[in-house]
Amino acid sequence: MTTDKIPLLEMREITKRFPGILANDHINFSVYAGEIHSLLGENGAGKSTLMNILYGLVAPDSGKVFVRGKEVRIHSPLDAIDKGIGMVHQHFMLVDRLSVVENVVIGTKPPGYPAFRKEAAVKRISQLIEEYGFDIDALMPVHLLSVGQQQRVEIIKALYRGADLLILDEPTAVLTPPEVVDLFRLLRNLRQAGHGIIFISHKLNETLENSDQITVIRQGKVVNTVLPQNIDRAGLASLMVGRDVLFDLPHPPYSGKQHAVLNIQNLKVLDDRKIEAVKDISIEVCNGEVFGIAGVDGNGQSELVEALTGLRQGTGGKIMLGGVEITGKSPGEILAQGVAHIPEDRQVRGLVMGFRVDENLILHDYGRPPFTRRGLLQHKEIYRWARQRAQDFDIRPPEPRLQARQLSGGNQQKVVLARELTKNPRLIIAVPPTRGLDVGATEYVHRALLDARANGAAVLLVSTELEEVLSLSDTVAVMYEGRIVGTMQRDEIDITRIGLLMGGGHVD
Amino acid sequence: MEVLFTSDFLINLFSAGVRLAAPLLMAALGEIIAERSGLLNIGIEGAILLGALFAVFGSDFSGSPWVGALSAILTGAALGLVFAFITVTLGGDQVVTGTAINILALGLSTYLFRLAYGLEGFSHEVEFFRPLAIPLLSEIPFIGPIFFKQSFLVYLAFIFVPVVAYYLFRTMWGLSLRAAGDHPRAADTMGINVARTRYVAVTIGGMLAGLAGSILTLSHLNIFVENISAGRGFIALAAVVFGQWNPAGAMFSALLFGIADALQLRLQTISNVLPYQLLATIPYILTVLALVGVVGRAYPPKALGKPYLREERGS
Amino acid sequence: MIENADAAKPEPKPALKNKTALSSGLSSVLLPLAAILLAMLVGSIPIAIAGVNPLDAYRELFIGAVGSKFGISETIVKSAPLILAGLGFAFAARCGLFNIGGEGQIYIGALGTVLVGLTVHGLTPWIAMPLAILAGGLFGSLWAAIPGALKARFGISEVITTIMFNYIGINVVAYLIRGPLVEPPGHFPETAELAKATWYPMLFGSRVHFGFIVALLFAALMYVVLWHTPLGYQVRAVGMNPSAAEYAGIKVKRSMIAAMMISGALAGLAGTNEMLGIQHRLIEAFSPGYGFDAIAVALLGQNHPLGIVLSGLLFSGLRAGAGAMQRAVGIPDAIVRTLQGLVVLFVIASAMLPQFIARMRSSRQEK
Repeated sequence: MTTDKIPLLEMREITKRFPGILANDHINFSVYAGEIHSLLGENGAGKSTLMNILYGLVAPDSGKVFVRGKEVRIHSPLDAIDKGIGMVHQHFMLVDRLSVVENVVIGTKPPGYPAFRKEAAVKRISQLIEEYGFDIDALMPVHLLSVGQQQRVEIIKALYRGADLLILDEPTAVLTPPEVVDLFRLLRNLRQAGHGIIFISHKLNETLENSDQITVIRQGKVVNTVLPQNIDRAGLASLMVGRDVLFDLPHPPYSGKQHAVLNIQNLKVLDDRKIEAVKDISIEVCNGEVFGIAGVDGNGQSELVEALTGLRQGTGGKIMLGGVEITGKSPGEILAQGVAHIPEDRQVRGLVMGFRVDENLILHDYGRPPFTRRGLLQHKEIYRWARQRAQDFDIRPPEPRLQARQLSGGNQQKVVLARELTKNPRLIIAVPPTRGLDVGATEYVHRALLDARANGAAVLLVSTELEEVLSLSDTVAVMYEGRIVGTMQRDEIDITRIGLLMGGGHVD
Repeated sequence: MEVLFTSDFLINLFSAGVRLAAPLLMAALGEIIAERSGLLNIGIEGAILLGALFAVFGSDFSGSPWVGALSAILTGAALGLVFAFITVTLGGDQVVTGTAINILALGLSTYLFRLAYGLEGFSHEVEFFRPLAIPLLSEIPFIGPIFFKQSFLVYLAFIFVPVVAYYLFRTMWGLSLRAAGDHPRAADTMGINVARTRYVAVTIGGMLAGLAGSILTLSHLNIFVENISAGRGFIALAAVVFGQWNPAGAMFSALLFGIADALQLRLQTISNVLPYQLLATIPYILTVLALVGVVGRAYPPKALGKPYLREERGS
Repeated sequence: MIENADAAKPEPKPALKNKTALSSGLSSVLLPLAAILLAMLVGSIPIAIAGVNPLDAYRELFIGAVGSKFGISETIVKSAPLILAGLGFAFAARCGLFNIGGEGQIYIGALGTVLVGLTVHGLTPWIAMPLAILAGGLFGSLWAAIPGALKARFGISEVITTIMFNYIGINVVAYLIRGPLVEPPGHFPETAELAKATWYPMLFGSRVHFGFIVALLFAALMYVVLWHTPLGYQVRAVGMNPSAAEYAGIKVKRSMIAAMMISGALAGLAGTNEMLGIQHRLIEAFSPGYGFDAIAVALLGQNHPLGIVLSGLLFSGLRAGAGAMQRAVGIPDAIVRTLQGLVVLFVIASAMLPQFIARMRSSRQEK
């Protein structure tokens, strides 16, 4: 930490409420020139909202922002850039097909404007690359670069625009370990040069090793700001995860006879960029068991779920359902085997928003009796059935003729549940949505899953919400960088250990 | 068949091919600009058609083909602006809007044409751009008569190839435009006004389509006939895909289609191997084959056809 | 198509949320009406340019369409091909496909009908006519299957290929009626007359023929298929949200090809209608662009069979009245297609307006 009295950035009493959630609750936060200040917290703790406010993407309800001691109002990214604030988004804002130099100069007015003097721009950018040791070729098209290199382009973009405060939103989430090492080497160079850096993360080790200060946020509030030398990983984990998890839902042990329903052996899956996102995963889920997979977003969970549901082909391994292999089967074939799926993005995969509620409720079974007889849809039967589902699952308003898009998010989710759970599935693959549902609706989803478990279904729960995983699961596994890095039974759950595993820490 | 291989025949064929390629090229260049910004404007068929008519009006009214060409440009610009308003400002579906503009242009051109020249369906000949032999270059054997004895607008279409390439790849405007078409949100965060960029792009696209129409009436036929565009706007759309959204690529595809067209026209007169109606399908079949041939190798701008509405940035 | 456009992306939240079924039903009537009125308003500019009072022109148009028995029967006669081709466009649109190849499918459908009609001499109408209808639908459907397969298999845009298939189909027909199918001795580019057994019977002692009934039957049939059969369910699911449909086990590609084939069959039946009801032989240019008008018919009719019947009658009325208007006040009948283009533009604009206003409002709130 430097001895500057005036912070480079000060955010005072920032408050932002979204429908149903207080995302930022009177947050105070300062960064000095020449320091790396980490912002640590779970998914949904409010870190991203705070940074989006700082970058002009979200307007705060109240609170003030000061840059070098002067109050500023930031309405757009342009304002932020103008105040010397640069942001490296988690999802890069790069135009794939343009070269590095083109991506860097977009939207600026370099000498010679409106002509684009490529050679001159390359020269200027090469200077930056040299100065900070970025080590990339300015003429390469961005899509040919590795993820780590793309991230450096984002940093160069900010520096080229004169940013002296850099926000990095979970920059290591997408990097390989050697790339992480490189990133921190770069960040130290930048700190040396007097830049202020806000480093957003949930990973404990890297935060501890590389920060000058650490501010922990939980549920929209600042828990504490600590110096890394005064705290250890366990302490940090408990600050981040907070209070003891409330086991407030009845969770009696399953009394029936158990056998494996889902058996995954050495599964390997590539992501869209053809990089191995699931690396050799083997798990077994039994009837009457909730098997929870905890982990930070982007560690291969969605690829795993897509492979299990037939939307993505694996590159190795086997998936067995009740002893029958379903590897490589189509979504329709897998569904027909008694698998239910509660997708995270209900509006994209779960529901046809322009369809009525009753039409959505028969999305898998529309062609079979009793919904279709003699080639015709039996609307009375469908309506009656939907009406019953609306009652059973408390869908409001209980009018199956409404379009799905006319319902609230929570009730849309209930439509998905009603469709998926009514068929008494053997296996439920649930990725409960973390956004857009209020507390009541979330609890409803949880109860429904536990009820299904009590009836003997096997539940594979994949969630980035640690509390959700802990309160529902009989077995908890932690997924990190495409692998299961630890598994424990409900009675051996150790919150600190899980926090460490999620952050990539080694547990001895 | 040996008549096919005389040098006169080939010169004549390629020269006609270059001439017939010009309107396709002009429209394709405009469409490249529009599509590179993210707007799929199938309304260029209508812009070509209405541009062709207003070129005749302008030339007829003033006695100068230059005024004709200018009217065609303005007509195309107007249609481009209508397209931009509905698709960019209102966020309407681009294909439906383009289709509506095509229907409108087909109706309006026929209507105004009949109003001006009666119901018979022929305009009288107007002042047009005469072939302009370029000194020295036109003397080059074989090449000269093919490329350098064309009319002004045909030259212009080919001159626009490097001009559009320069605009797209060597100016900051072109850079913003390509960013808007590939990743509008990234462009937005970099301070580029995506809506304005797209307005400009599709208006320029409309201007060039209008100008393409004027080539049909002021440099090929010198008269207007109903539905004179005859699907050329759609062939130009295919030329954009086949040319991989690059001006030079579009030039080669336009030449391919133009020469195929010239060839089938010549085969109609000299051979009775195939009846002319079947020969006339060649450019259209070729267009479909070109699209099949480019499958897996065509990478359209990533945001092509998708509206970009700012508040979708979310939180 | 308008409602498909936002299928894959997350729903824009506000404006739609508290829209009740009633108000959406109301707006599906009011918006097209507003679009028609606005189109007529803007359409009065080119009429005024001609030096004619637009009110006079529209009055003549109206009288020509419904002011006499002849006008009414013309309106009904011309509505059948518009309705059939409009249903065709709409069926593909319900699956998220933009089939603008109706015109070519009309010609190829007519060809199929004629091939039957030329060979079934001596058969009873009870067999001959259904055969001729079936052949029209089959030919149209196969013609549309090619762009459909290119789309499903290779992802090639059906927008360009269907247009190309228009020109190819029309030229193929032009060739056949001069070559293999020409009526001896071959002076005119037309086929021989079809077997009388295939002709649609005339109704009400007017030019109205059985084809109108056929069109209504197919509108009813399409309604049943779309909303009362698994096939229609599947097509609509793919059209509104292909990724949810795929996830639910629906074969998306197969649905697309099926939708294109049914779409082409309906357009082909519009060709059949002209053969069996009007021309009774295959000639050149028998369709004045019904395939293109059908797009406007379907879009104004919101891709709903009932809406298509109504807008088909509206546009055929315009077409029928346009002749009278042209004779009475000298306004070229091409004004009708101009109006169609304007109607579609205003339909899109008015459909987007509520969201546009909501956006404006929320962005003002932010400031």
